Amino acid sequence: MAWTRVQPKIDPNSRSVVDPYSYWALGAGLQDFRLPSVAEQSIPVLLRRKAEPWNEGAWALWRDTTEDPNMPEKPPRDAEPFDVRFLPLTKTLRLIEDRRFQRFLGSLERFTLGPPLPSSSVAPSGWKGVRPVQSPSPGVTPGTVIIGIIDDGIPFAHERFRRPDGTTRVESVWVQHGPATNVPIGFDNGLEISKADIDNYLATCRQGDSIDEDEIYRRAGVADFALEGRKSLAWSASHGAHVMDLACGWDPDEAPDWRIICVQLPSATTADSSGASLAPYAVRALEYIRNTAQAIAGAGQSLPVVVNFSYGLLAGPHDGTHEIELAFDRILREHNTTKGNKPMRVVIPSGNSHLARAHATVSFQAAGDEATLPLRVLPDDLTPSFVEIWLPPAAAAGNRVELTIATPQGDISPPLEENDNFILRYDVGGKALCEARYHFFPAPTERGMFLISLQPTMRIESENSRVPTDPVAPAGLWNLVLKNNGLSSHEAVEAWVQRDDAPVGYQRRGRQAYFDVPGYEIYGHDGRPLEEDDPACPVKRAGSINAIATGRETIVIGGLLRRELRPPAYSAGGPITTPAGAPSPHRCGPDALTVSDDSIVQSGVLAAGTRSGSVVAMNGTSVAAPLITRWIAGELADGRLGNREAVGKLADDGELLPLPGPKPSPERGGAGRAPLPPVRPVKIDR
Amino acid sequence: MSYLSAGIGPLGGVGGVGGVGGVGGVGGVGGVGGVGGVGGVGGVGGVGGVGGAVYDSPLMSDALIRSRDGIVGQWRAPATIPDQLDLEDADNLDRWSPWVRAAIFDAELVSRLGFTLEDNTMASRHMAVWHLEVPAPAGGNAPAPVYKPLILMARPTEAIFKAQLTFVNHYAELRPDRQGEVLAQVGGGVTFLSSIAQLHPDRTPHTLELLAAILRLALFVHLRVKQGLACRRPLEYSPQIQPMIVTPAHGALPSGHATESFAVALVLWQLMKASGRPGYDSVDWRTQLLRLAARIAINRTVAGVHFPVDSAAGAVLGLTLGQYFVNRCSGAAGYRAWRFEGENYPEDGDFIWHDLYDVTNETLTSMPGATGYSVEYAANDQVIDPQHQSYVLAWLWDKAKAEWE
Repeated sequence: MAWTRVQPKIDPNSRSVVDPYSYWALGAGLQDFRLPSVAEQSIPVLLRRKAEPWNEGAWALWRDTTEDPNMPEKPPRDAEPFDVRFLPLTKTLRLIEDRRFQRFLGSLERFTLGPPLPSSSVAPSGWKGVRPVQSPSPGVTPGTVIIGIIDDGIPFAHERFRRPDGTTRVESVWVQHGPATNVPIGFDNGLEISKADIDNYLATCRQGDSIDEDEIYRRAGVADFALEGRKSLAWSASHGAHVMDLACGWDPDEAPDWRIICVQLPSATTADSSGASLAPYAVRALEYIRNTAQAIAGAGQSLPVVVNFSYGLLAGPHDGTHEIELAFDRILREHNTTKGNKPMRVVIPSGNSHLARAHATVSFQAAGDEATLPLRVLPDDLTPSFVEIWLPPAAAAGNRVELTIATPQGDISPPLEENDNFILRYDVGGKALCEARYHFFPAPTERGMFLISLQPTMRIESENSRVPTDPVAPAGLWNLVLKNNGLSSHEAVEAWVQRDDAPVGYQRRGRQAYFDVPGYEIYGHDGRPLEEDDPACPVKRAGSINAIATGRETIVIGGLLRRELRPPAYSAGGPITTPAGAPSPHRCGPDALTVSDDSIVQSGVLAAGTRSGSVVAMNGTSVAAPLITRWIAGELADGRLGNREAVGKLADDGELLPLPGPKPSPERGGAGRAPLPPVRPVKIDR
Repeated sequence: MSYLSAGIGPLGGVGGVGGVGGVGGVGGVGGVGGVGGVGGVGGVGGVGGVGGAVYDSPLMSDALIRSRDGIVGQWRAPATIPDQLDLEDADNLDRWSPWVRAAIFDAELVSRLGFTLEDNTMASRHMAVWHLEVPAPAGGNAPAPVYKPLILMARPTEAIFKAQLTFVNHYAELRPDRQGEVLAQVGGGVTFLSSIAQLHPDRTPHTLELLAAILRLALFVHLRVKQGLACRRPLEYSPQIQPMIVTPAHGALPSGHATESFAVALVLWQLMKASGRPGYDSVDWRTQLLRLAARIAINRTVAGVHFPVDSAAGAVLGLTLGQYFVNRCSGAAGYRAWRFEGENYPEDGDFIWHDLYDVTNETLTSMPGATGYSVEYAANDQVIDPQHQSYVLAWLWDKAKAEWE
């Protein structure tokens, strides 16, 4: 039972390219990263290339690895900076560890792994779509808008997405984890369901005149109980159904020409807390919506697009340089600056973790000072836990801060220094229970981070064994001690615990760890949860904003109580971290707030369940974002911009009315409150 | 709606056996008693057992004794007496307590059924359910009944049940979502019918008696067939099924919930349709009732106590029995006999009700004879000899039908 310092196999240059979670996912955490009981698995890797053209040697290595005969021998000049490929596990490991690939990794800025898919969901390498691209739907008008939905449990047969003639407004659905029977052209995995397919289902899955939605989803393979995997559409309510109704649901007789492109994310990404990133899937999802919208518009034409992406993470750089943020910003900027293109917008929620105690800020008065972040790791956590501790930008490489870790039993680690090449590992019986490493993220992040990875605190079994044999970390307080060697008092260290819980309806496997500082006041004198921070307490509600909601181009929306006209206690906000080299951050927090709950008592807002005719209440900033998506769709249909400034102006105008009650701080509420009308109004107060 | 959960609801379950205990050996059949009670929901049923409390209390009977003593006077034989009631006359049914009628209906139905297991010369041994025609005997001789096929059911293979476990495992995902329904339907899902058709003891007392009668018929038959086919429940195959409710102590196939809910759904829409009220003949009413029946059946798989093949067998049995019952009640010339060939059930086959039943034509769908698992026994109906039609059942049918006109 001991802490050791381990020399990693990979050289420091390549190391800074590979997402630090990957080492855990492919190393000590492999058993939680792999899909259980699936023999053949494929791992999506997201590459972000350096700005310069491909190096020929690096290209050749990459070409060999992917075994894609369609890749040209010479590196293409105009290759996209982002690329996603599916690789077998062994190959992925070799890319990282085999020194032969250093040249390949050297040509990248970033290399990120997503959760694996069964290989049956991935097209064989070299697959090239030969089926004809679906001819764009006819009758595009100046009022035609495309709404993109990236979510889980997308009810594409629902009446709220149909036209008066009974056909669907859904142009296509990409089920990213479906069997690779009808892979969308230009993509590598899953199943595409076209408008023609859906219209055919709507016409044929009937008893008498009654459409049988159970049968539609069964036939489409998304809720077929003969198949493995979660079936969100078999539930009475799903995240995707609620979000999509709020974003673009209409009574068929009133529906404007809003056409819908959906991406069903793999349920592993929705439920995942294994350290794998949803970035590869999210980036491809946005590209798919962009490409499909272009196909619908037709060559030389363009249609306005607004995409709702109601997902979130807790930990990340929070300066706009998360992998997803960089990719989304680039796709949006490129699209919106191309001449002749109509606008494309992406809306993201600000997150629900205001009270999660998952964020801490530490500043030191003097060298030699120490600060302790007690990490409360809960028992019965079946998934790994992670903490990211971000350091401020450094003028020169040095050791300004060092980290030591004390286990719940009091085993204290040697220090892990800033710029340390070694990994700290806590071994019991030859198995790693905890690892901590320093990772420097090159530009545009240009900051270092300590990543602490912990095994689950509970296991039921292991692969091929009914008795757990894999390591388990002790639950309890893991003290993360930071010692200041050279930070000044205005340079803050920021820590976030990574998201580790299940969305509503999913079986809970993870349990959210948090910073358990005794001085943190949860409740005020009136018995309500406190929503403001104590300056003396390192645990901060402020800055708990969704870690993929700090980008420049995306529109970020927090929650609002319709009756009380203040943000619900959970609605997270900024500030965000100032990017390295920038004089000030590019946003305070969300752009605006809109309704996530009818009132503090009537939690949630009403919108569709999975089946036509059903209505359920759900809350969270996830349901506020699509209300703005809906508003933007209306703006775009009318030829207006529907951008961040427009959303800000919408909120501004509301505040100028003025709305009763105090205007929330810019960090919490952006430009202010925009109580948009309900999508499902009720005649009687709920 | 508490009357339904108290009365029809517990079919197969808790049954307030109450007065119906008197129904010979049937009293023991849990729910049967409860259903008898439904007839009693009119307020009378209680008289059998509970209602007796009013008259049978020592206080009341003492008062009745003293009251009579006070006024009875000298005994005088009556000068005029009523005529005797007609023998075997339908009109007399109006005179009896609903629970008494329930016993009569049961006798009428069950006395015309036979159950056999095919001998071991048959490739798959079917439990056969027969319809009996009992000609009126002459001259004091015993009658010589004629047996006609109603339904033959064969057990699926071990391999099929093993493969079907996958479905039970996959459906378990929905347990939190369906918990309310699963618990509310533990004793049967018939209460849910009243969310589609307006059933109420004050408004539709005879319909409730009719539905209770088909439910009891379904119960007798499916429990007898379960005894014959002796299929293990999912949790006997794997320690990881862990159902969310207690697994009932009877066989898996055919599913009783499926049998009962499909039978009662069919009877209800046929009754509503027979009333002639415009709209009730539309596909919409029967589709909704069948969807409800299917959901009740599927909820048992979600709960972890049934395989999809159990529901398919139950649906085929329930729909066959339901139509047989309607035809016997309504004086039809025959009924369609059916076969459930469990060994032909696809291992990866989920329970899809509309694969089994054509809701437009209102017939079970006959699959190809050699490979299908739901197959008609013969291309023609089995003939019901008009002279053996049951005036008892006809009385009940007509009374119930009038409630929907």
